[in-house]
Amino acid sequence: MRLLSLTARVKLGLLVAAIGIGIAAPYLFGSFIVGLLSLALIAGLFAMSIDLLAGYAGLVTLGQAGISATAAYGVGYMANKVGAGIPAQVLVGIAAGLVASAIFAAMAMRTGGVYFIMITLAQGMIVWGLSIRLYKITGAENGLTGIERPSAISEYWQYYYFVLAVVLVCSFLLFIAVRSPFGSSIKGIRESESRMRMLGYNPALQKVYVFMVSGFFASVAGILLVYLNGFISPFAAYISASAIGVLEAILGGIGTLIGPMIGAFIIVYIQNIVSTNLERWPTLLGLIFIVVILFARQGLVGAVSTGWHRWLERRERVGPGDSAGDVADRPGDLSLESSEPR
Amino acid sequence: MTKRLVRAVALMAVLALVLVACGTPGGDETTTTAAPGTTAAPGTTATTAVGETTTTEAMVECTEPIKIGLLQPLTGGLAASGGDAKDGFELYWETFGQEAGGCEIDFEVVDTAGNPDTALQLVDELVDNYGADIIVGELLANVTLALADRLKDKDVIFMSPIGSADDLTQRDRDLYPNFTRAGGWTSSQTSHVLGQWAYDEGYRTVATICTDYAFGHEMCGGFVQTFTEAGGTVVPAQQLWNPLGSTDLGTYVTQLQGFAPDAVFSLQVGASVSDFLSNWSNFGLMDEIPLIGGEVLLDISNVRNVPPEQVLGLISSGHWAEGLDKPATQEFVDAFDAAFGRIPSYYAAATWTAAQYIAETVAAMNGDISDRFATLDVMKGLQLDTPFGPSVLDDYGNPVYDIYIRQVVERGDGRLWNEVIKTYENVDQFWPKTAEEYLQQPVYSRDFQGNAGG
Amino acid sequence: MAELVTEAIPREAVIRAQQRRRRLIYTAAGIVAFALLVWWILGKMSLRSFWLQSLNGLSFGAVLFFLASGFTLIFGLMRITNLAHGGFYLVGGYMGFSVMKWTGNFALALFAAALGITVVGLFTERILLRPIRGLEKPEVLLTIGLTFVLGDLSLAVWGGDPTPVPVPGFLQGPLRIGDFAYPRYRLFVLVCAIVVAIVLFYIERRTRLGAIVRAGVDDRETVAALGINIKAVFTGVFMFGAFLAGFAGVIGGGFLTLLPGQDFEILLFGLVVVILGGLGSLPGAVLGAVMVGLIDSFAKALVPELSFFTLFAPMALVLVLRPQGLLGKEE
Repeated sequence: MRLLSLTARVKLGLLVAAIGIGIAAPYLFGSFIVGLLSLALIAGLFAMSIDLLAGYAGLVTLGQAGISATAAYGVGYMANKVGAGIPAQVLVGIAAGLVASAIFAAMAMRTGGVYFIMITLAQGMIVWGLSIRLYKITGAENGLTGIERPSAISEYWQYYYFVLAVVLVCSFLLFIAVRSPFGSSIKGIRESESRMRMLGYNPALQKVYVFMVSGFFASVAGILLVYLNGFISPFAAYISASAIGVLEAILGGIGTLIGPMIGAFIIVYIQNIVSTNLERWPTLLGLIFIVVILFARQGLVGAVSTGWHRWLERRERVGPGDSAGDVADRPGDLSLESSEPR
Repeated sequence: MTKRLVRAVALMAVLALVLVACGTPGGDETTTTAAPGTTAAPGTTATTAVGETTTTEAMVECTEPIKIGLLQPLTGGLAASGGDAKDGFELYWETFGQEAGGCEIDFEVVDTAGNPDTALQLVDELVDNYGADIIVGELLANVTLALADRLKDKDVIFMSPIGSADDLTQRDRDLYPNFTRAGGWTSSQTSHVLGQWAYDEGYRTVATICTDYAFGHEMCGGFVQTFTEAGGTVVPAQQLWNPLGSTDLGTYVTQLQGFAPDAVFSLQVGASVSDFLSNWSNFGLMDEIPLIGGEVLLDISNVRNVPPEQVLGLISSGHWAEGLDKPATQEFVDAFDAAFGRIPSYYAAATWTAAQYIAETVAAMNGDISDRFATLDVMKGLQLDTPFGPSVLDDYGNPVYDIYIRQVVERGDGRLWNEVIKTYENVDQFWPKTAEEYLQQPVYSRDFQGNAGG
Repeated sequence: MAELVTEAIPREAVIRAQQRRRRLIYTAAGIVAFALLVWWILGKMSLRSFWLQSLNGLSFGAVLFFLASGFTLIFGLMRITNLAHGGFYLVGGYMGFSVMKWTGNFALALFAAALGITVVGLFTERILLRPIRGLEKPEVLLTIGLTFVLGDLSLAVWGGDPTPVPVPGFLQGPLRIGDFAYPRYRLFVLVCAIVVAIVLFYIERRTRLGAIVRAGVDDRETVAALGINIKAVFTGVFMFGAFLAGFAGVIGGGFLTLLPGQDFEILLFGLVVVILGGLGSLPGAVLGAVMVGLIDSFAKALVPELSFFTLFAPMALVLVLRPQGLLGKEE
């Protein structure tokens, strides 16, 4: 008896293959590429945290970099200015990120749609501005250096495995979260707030929860990054960092979780490898943004998934075990708007 | 579902164990990349002292070129200055040929976009992938600090002809043994003399407005310390600081007017320069209060597009003066002008000089710079005539220069540049103190400006 | 007897009365807070400084008004959040700089650059935004992508040098009245903004075009049903908003130096203006611009460390208490 549909088996196979390559990577590639892979994994986690808000709650945020930078500054401050140990650094980092998420959420919870986008944009930029002004805490433009990893993961490949493990665990947690009752209630908020209210949910509160969960993962990404570079500066909170995160999510496919990870790999590739040959690479990023929005809003994973399902339907003339399981896996679509104006 | 999942996990676990058993990947690679600049010939000679010709020893042949990585912001808010830096560096090799000491010189220029994270990724690529022997960069002090941190354990020489964070060649000298500032400067090196000069000119009270980051703190501090120690006063004691990247400096200009000082000292960078200068003129202060600038305020790259009446006659100090009447300087200025149609800024002069240092050092080492510390020692022993004037490195790896008091004038062809009106010779980074005295005090910051008045 | 009376009063009227009372209380509280703030500021600076800083703030606010008014018009009618407005500002400023360099004619520079941006706006609305009309989030994100492109292309064309727009001689230097001197150019910008604001109000309130636009904001189907080419109105309004942004870039570039990256920074200020004032409201754009300009100027003078925070706090307050902005419409 087949326990899994064909689609699920293919997905699992791809996942296992990817993880296998991930584990083998330091044996296949040199330190530069492995460093880039660490970066791509972190960017992927960041993009997934954005996807949680955008793809499942329907809230597109342009200020996620503000949250991850706040967490990174928490770590940096404890390491550089206070001289605390690693556990204290991480704890303060996560706490700082969560506090920022809570404040942002409280400010934005009564809005949605484009208002939400604008407000989160302003919030992210305000973190940037504050990190430049508050030089006693943040070192202003100079940023904070001297953020060291514990010796067990100080080598580039050791840290890579650490990042891989953390990102896998976080991805798994996100995966569970969106399939949990909490995830369903979030999706319900996106579909129709008034209906959820009738069912007894408080949409504003739900938004705060999902914002904070998303902020938690963004904080983790920010902390992983600050230990990768050993350095944090205001630039990490700039709008371009948030916007590129959104681009990664959309490029890969909103609402799919795996899509943003793929999108992140592509964008990191462009930023670091294509950029050495193409001086106008920011234009390329902008054009990709525009093209994806106009022609492929479901993103890569969405497009591939749709094509796959169509191929399946043509191939099999029914087989309830297969198609039924497949239809439920349709990815989200950025253009799905709630019927409410806000 | 569960059985398959368990099987998959078990497979991965086995795979992981096998890999671990095969040995860790990091252990296979040597942590220090082999220096490509070394030659294959086993009888490589030791470094020769400067000036000695090696007629008896075999001429070293390079099998691999010497590789240099140059990091600059080529896009973003500092693109103009970064572009100048790139042009200056490339022009040197175009003029003198890409070879030295019998070795071919190869270099790669990368764009940091002014972003420290990008710079760190790129420098990894340059060191590990490209195999650079020498890293030259960057522009901003914060990026330079991050790079110095990253490179301190690597088998490269790190040169910073522009990024001027003082402590890299002062109190933190020992943390960065492979760092040198040949072709560079410390932020306060040029403002120390200006404070003395201001007092000698008769100014007794000065108000300062500097950009609120390390570079601004250090340059302002240099001025304040020498000015107040000579007997001057800074008003108000609570100095003015404007944020980096400020777009509207009218507010600050208004405040400065209110303090009614004998003169105003300002250091601005990037766009804030023209902002400040236009506000200074438009509020009518050009005729009221003398303005003295830190080097970058009146650097050519920042005033190219400013209306002449807003800069003519303004005084600043600097290690670079386009109008310096020395052959090394004018040859460089003319070459740059011919190649790019503009007068070079200090950014271009700095990387040109860095290239000059590299070429001379490589020649002195006969093409073998695999011993980085020996190479740095040789570099320190060089006495060069650079576009800045004569240059010698002190014990801390920072150059000793003639520092000039400069004034913006119109030259023959209608363009503006800085001419020298006074020279202070052999100024090192600690002038007028000795190294021991100077290093007793902390590095200049918001809180410590060396104000002798307390 | 009392229950009959209570039931007879329509619920709506009660709600509206409550709203009116609340608005009155808030406004009164706002005025009192404002008066206290002014009194505190006067304690910290001379009267002369106070006027100077006020003018500084108002002239900066004038530039923000040009930017925010176009933005808010586009949003009010078309519900499009055009985050490329910052890019329009920057490219417009650069274009004005070039025209000034070629012709030396400031008026020509202002209008030519604004028209240039109008063309960009036309392209944006018709080619880029038409296919996704009505999908709010994709529209916004597309404009972000457009900003990336505009910013990088302007770097390629004009380079990264700090670029102040040259202003004509008669506008340079200070205007002196007694011993009070203030830059002529900033006064000019302020006067321009007042004139443009009056013109915009007049068009919105007194002309047929304005009526169509206002009607379109409220109910676009009916307007279309009345035989008015609503699509043309949309395009026209978008182009006009772009015109204002390009104009803002040139006139702002006269005293705020143009630089790569300024597109996002000026956009941030613009967003705070419309969040404070209320999206879709022209009076809101005026109020927001005045507030942001003054806050920025006085904060820089009095509490420079907190100067970003002082923008943040009112915005946060408005978002929590009145998310549609001070003069925005209740949703």
